[in-house]
Amino acid sequence: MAAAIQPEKILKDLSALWVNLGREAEGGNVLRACAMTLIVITGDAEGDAVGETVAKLMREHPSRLVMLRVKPGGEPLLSERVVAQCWMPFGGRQQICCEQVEITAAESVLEDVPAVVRALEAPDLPVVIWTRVPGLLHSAECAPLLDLADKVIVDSAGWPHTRDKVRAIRNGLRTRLVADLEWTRLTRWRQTLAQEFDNPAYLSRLGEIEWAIVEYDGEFVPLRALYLAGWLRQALGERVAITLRGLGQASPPRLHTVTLSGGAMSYRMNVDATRAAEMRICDQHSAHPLMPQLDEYELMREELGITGRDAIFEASLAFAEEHGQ
Amino acid sequence: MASSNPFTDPLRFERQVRPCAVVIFGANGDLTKRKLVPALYRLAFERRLPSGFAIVGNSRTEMSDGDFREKMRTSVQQFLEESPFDEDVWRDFARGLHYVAGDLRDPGCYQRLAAKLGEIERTQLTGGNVLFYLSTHPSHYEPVVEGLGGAGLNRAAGGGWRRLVVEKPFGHDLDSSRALDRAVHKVFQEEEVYRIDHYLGKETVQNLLAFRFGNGIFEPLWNRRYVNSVQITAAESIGVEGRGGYYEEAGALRDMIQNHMLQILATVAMEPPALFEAAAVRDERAKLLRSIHVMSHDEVTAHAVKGQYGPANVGGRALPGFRQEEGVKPDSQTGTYAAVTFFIDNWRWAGVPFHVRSGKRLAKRVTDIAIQYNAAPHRVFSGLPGGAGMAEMAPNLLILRVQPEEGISLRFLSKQPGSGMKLRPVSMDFNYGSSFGMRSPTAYETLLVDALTGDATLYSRQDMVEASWQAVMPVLEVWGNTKFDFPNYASGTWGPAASDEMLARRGQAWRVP
Repeated sequence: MAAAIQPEKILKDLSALWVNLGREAEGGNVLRACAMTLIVITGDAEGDAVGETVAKLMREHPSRLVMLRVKPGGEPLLSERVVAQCWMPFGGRQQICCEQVEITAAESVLEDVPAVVRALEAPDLPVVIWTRVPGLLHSAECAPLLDLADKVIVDSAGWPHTRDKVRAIRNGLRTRLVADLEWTRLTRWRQTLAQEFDNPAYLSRLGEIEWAIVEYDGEFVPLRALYLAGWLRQALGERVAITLRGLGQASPPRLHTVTLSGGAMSYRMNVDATRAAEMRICDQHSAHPLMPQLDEYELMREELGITGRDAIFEASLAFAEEHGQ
Repeated sequence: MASSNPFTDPLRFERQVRPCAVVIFGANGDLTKRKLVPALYRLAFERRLPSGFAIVGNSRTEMSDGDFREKMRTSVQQFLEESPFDEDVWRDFARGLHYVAGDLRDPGCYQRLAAKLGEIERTQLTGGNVLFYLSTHPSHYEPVVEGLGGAGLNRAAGGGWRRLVVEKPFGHDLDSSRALDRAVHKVFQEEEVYRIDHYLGKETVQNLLAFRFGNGIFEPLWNRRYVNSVQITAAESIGVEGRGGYYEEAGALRDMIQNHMLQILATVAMEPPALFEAAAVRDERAKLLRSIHVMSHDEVTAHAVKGQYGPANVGGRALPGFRQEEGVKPDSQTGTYAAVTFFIDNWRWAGVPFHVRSGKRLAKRVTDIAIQYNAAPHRVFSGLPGGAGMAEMAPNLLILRVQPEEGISLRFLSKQPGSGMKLRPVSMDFNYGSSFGMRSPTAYETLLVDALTGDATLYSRQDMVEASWQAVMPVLEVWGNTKFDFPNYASGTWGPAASDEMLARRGQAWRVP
């Protein structure tokens, strides 16, 4: 079935696309921008929402985009089309365009896909794979596809059986960079907490902290809570006891509260269901109204901006594997 | 006790400002309203300011904290660039806004300020950290610094930091710049003084450092062997816009070339620093500025042109000449245009002219840097029928656009499609804003965060300021003793004919940017 798609034809179509865009610009300029090959692996049903997300991402992370839609079932199927993602920035005179190749493949023919994608990589630029299909990270059919990537981005939100999944992420890290959007979701939590301890008055009392509690709602420990606990362990060291505590049965699971305490020193950050954050440190109270739930665009935007190793994430991941269920 | 914050994650967290207070002298002025407070609000919007952050405004006008907050709210809503106004963020931000009225020559003003800062330190735990921002008329700089010293505000009792940000101009000539520096140094140490040149905070000027020193391909071509000349243009399409009184005293050479443009020139021409840290970068910039050839008075005549715009009709609108502007003398000799060819006395740049020009009421608003490379040593295509012709004469140009559309272009020759070997110049463009598609911070956002976090990389040092004055002093002296026949260029043009002639004498011409 792999013969149904010929990479040479796609490349030829891409070439024709640029010629046509140049003609349509009618005297205006078309700028071609490309900083990486971004391969997005997605389920068949979620195409439109993902399309909007990647269209927004292209503006900050211009890429050759390969959108791989995986259809369920064993029916042999492999098809492709080439389109352009264009926008006119700042009401300007120049149109900026990125190229997008869409490949639709049935699960049963996934093993034919890597050969096609390999030919479509933008030369000399990094390859990033964002997989929105759970379980792909440890599927044998996809291993050759993932081998193409310099970085693989997954989202473990809602994954049960944490330790297996964490192990899959850690295994992936042996040969390439792996990022988890559950970790990315923690940036604002971590930054808000860190900012309080920029104050020398509180920083000087950090040694008083003896225990930390991470509380969450949900039927199982969300990986996000484990990551946060791992991060606290790195920052506070082994001497501080860290506890994870489930409070309710919310679905999807969510982080609730972080408490650091010891002696006369205490810090508590609580984010309620409306995403309003409330903080109290040594009886000083401050409300931080902005703790919005970030959408995939915002998460990916941050993640695509990181091209090197994230040592703090990797250490948090190791903690999660050790303490996950 | 932890000495540094163990929760910090430099890979993902934006640089954070630690709890502190910013005191703005001249809080009722244009700079505060248009640039400083909108920039600080934007930093709050991005959650880069801590909860213990306060601003204390000062001016002579009596105002309550509430009045000041309301005034700043209006300014932020009006002048915020490419940003939404968020009520919740504003409410948090406004809680930290305070106001102390007072005359800058009255010692009581500084006592009241000290009391307010003490109160803020207690309630907002700022740790005694204070940044003083001189956004006043330059004639108030010395009294403010003396007042701060007199009230002991230059030192924090509890060990916090004190910093002073000084807006340009740093004096109006070399002597007055040195006098100002002596006055400042009686009260503040050099490492506490941040001389702001907002051009250095522009994203593209910083990108110039990335472009030159992050890539291996360009630096080998960045010297006298390959570069024929460099042109730096900062053109304004508007006139003095109500600032006639100020401009009458300053003129284009003092207002633009002595500071902004020589800083850009230094960034273009400096040697690579060993590290990207404040001292190393500033050392290289200072070294370059000291290497600028100081002209003799005879050389000034050949290498500098002064211009002043006259009245004109542009696009159906009658525009006044400079001498017709409010606050300007009817026989003014002030230059609204200046073009100077600088040479750099070092091995890398010996003999390469750096043509620098700046003016008001020029054809359009644009700031760019053009590196013109030498022509190919042998014209291979000139003998062919229908061959390269004039195109082959077109030099390779590397253009670094600072504003309005920040980016980089490389002009080179390409074969025209079709039979025959016809060449034509083409441009390969990198558009900074649109390629990344994200909002760039304004220069003031960048520079304020730098000052608040103690990073002086993009700030001028006194030795740089003095070297810049030394480079322009001969021009100021000659121009001060010459009577010019003004106006000598019409609004909407690219400046006086004498400027074109100055380059034509070297077989060169100004680009049309």
